[in-house]
Amino acid sequence: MQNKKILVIGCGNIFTSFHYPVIKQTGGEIITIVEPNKRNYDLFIAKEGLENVNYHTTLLEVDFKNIDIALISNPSAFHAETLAYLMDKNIHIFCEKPILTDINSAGEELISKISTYSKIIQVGYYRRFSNASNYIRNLIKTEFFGKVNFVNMKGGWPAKNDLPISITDKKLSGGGITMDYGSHFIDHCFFWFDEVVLIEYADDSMGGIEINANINLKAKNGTPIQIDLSWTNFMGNFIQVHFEKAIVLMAFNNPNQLEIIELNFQTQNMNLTKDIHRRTVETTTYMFKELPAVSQWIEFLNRLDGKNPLISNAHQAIEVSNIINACYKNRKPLSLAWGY
Amino acid sequence: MKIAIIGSSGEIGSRLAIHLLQNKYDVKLFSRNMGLRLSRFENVNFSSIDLLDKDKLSTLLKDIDCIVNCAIDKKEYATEDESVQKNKEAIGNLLEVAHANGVKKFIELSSVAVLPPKITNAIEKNPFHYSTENDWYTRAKIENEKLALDYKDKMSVSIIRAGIVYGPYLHWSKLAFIRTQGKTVVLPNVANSLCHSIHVDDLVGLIEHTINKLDTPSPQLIYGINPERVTWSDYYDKHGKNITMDQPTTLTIPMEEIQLMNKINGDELRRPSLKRKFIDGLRGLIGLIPSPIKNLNIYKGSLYKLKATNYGLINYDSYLNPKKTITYPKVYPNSFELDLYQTDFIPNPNTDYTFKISINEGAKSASNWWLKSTSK
Repeated sequence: MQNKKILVIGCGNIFTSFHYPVIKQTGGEIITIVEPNKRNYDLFIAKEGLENVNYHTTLLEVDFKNIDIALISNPSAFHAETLAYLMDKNIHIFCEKPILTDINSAGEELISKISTYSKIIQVGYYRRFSNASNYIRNLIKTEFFGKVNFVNMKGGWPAKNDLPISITDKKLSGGGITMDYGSHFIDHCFFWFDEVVLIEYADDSMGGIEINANINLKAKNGTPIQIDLSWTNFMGNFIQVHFEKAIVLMAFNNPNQLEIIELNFQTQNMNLTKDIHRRTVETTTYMFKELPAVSQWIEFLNRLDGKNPLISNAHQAIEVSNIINACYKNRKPLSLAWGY
Repeated sequence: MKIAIIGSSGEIGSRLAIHLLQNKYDVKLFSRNMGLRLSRFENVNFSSIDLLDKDKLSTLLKDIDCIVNCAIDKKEYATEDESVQKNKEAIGNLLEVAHANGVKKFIELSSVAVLPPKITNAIEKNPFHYSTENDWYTRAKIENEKLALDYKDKMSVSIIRAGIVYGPYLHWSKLAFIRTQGKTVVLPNVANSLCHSIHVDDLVGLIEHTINKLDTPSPQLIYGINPERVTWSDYYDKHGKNITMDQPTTLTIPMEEIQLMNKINGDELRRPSLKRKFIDGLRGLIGLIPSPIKNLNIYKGSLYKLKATNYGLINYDSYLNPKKTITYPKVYPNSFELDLYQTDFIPNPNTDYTFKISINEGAKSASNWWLKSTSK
């Protein structure tokens, strides 16, 4: 990221925990920060010992003359508006996910603007840049273990009751677990199957954000996909891809490892304890050398330097938002499964 | 009537908050953070508050008629003494501000944990004969009760001592699910081993009932315990069945074994200290555990003392005399099973809630019970 000058919009938790370590590692230079909460800015500058960083409370005050990249990491509900403003400045943009929270008429206008935008937009669905995810994608595309019968995804954990207001306040977040964590799973569906449609959706929102949600999707090849999300229960955080000849298990937070259970169909009456062959695949050197979040930034920078991307995601990020929007519009109430 | 719920993002506070809001009460909610439990709902009148900040407290609690205090500071402080002290300071501020602001009623959500482990006849007659146990939770709850009672002549003070509060997302239910999943719950083999539980919605109903009785003589002491005859085996079995455990999940062992365990481990099991864990580990290493216990294989899991089980039968008479029953409206089902599986509570605002438990019905002593888990 040598010589790349970065404008940061929002220096809260997401920026300081996720993006700044990557920017630091890849040598980027933060020259301007827009943050309405001066305390956040002061804490960050003091902690990192940065100097000569311009500070503004609104984007309207920013001079875009020397800026190479704008990083959008403000609360989700402001992403679309910020993105639209930045596109008018004709600048490369890294936008935290989701790209937009509500597909109304303004949202549709934004989508058409993105499709013709000449500069690069990257959206923060970094998990698809993991080796495990890419390995599974190849297994699906090559039908190495046959066709996929179904996919089962489970995400979530009993979250702390004191999550930040940028998540708990629907006006800022646009939604709950589906928007925040579930969107990563939906992004995987698009990454692996190219096209996905919503079949059914249920969540437990009572007008605020949803804490538990069930999403039932279908890939264009007919593969059913079930996503269960919860911020109250231990969900395991895994994806099971059931191929004709194997079950592939991906731990969602382990980017470099897969477990593959090969099914021996020679035996008609299958005894699972006898006829399965279980092995663990290390995928460390499969595609990316870095952790997914770093790989995504490197990919973004490579594209700025004119290199062809291995993975791109901006156009599918819109599709993810479309699905979430469809979820919220067609939601059914979810009865609360409690405890475990 | 304007009601303030302090600790509104907690397990019980949030359930109470939602119930009162759905029933069109004028409610203001206070906690450190709004949290996930309240954020599912819209149009919530919430303010972030630190009970140690008396000035802010005074401003925010203007024009309040009734305060329900569900808060307890569970933050880890350097010592347990400090933890008790911070809790005292917090409720002291709250009571002082409540009195200064002309609050009419103060409801303190306490716990049966404030009673001593073994209840004698003398203790039964004096409900303010407190436990002398040393864990911070018991001490903090006792101190909070005492402070609230100091204000009994200045405003109407009600103390509600809740039992084992179970229900959706409740700690005690989660514990039961964890223990029954792939594990055998070991219980002492004691006759009439009742679990003095209360469904969170029943407790909420009881608090609502108390709120509406502004003219109750002060102080008022109420036990929040359901009168159904539910054993600890029932409690775990029914939780277990809810997660499709189709075989019995409880195993009873003689009381003598439990008492022996009690003797070995002292009185710190409720929240074992690091020192205690170290000593336990050392005992395991040097083989000081008596062989009958080792053979029972019950030493593997952590030991938990279910304090509330020690406090006997509230409404004891109703068990002995079946004709003496407590009437419940339909929205508060009297069946444990229905209660247990009830998930999304939508109350009927016109219901006349009749849940009443008098302190005079008292508590009878059970034994010193302990609960353990062991792998199957």
